[in-house]
Amino acid sequence: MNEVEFGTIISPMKQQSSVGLSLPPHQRPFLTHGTYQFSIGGQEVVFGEWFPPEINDVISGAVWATTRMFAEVQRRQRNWDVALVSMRDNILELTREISELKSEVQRLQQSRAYVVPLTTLTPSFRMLQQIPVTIEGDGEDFTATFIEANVSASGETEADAIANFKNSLLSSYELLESLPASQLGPLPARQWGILRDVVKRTD
Amino acid sequence: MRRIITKELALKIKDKLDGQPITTKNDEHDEYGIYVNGVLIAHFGIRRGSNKEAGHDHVQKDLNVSTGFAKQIGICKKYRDDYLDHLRERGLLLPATPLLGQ
Repeated sequence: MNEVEFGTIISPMKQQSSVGLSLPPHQRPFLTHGTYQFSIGGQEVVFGEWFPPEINDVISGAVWATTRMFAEVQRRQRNWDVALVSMRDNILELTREISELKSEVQRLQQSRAYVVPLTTLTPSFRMLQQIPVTIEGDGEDFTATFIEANVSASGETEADAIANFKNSLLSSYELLESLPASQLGPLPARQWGILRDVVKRTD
Repeated sequence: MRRIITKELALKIKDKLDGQPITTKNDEHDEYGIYVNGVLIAHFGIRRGSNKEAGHDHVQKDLNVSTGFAKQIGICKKYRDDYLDHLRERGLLLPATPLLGQ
């Protein structure tokens, strides 16, 4: 009796012949006629008589196995293609987001914002109380803002921005002072209400 | 600050919003007011003598809009009516103020 280890037998089929066991075509060994001991999954042992397949069966089995293998490869290839396209899109999106974050971090590293108290103006005007002026800049351009009154100015240096802010503050004061309340919209009216509490003419 | 609103753009914004020059004693910058039916609704200054690339990133603050909104006005993607709607939505334009006769 010959003993044959088939390794993995996926779907053994009962046969009408006396062998009692048949294998899928791609797993059929080229054995001669005889009685063999079949080991299924390394566990079960079956004795049976093996009739070698006809040559046509061998060829069709090989074609069947090849076709099935090729179809499986194609299916896996399609899955891989879909996965790769998806991964490529995700990588592009992540790269774009990282680039944006990098720019934003660089901008934040360069930007500076701090508050300075403004206490003096020109001889013609005096401050009734100091006001907080927020300076924002990145080394190239600066803005000075009195947020509460919505008055601001720009400059190429902090000192430039503050000097321009003082000019802007006084221009706003003179403009709003010159107009009757009926000609002031909500925003200018609010500005005037704040400015007259912090600035006063001395002349 | 990132130089987003340049003097050139600030002048375009002034034109788009129909800003009217205001006479002040200030010789450092030109002041412009935006009016609706003779009522001043906003004003801002543009530095005199500065080059056209000089930063004017205070304009959007004076107009009470975002930087993006101000830029869109300057490049003709938003107009005076959009600005007035923006102010009205924020209670910075009297609801009864008609928009005719800008």
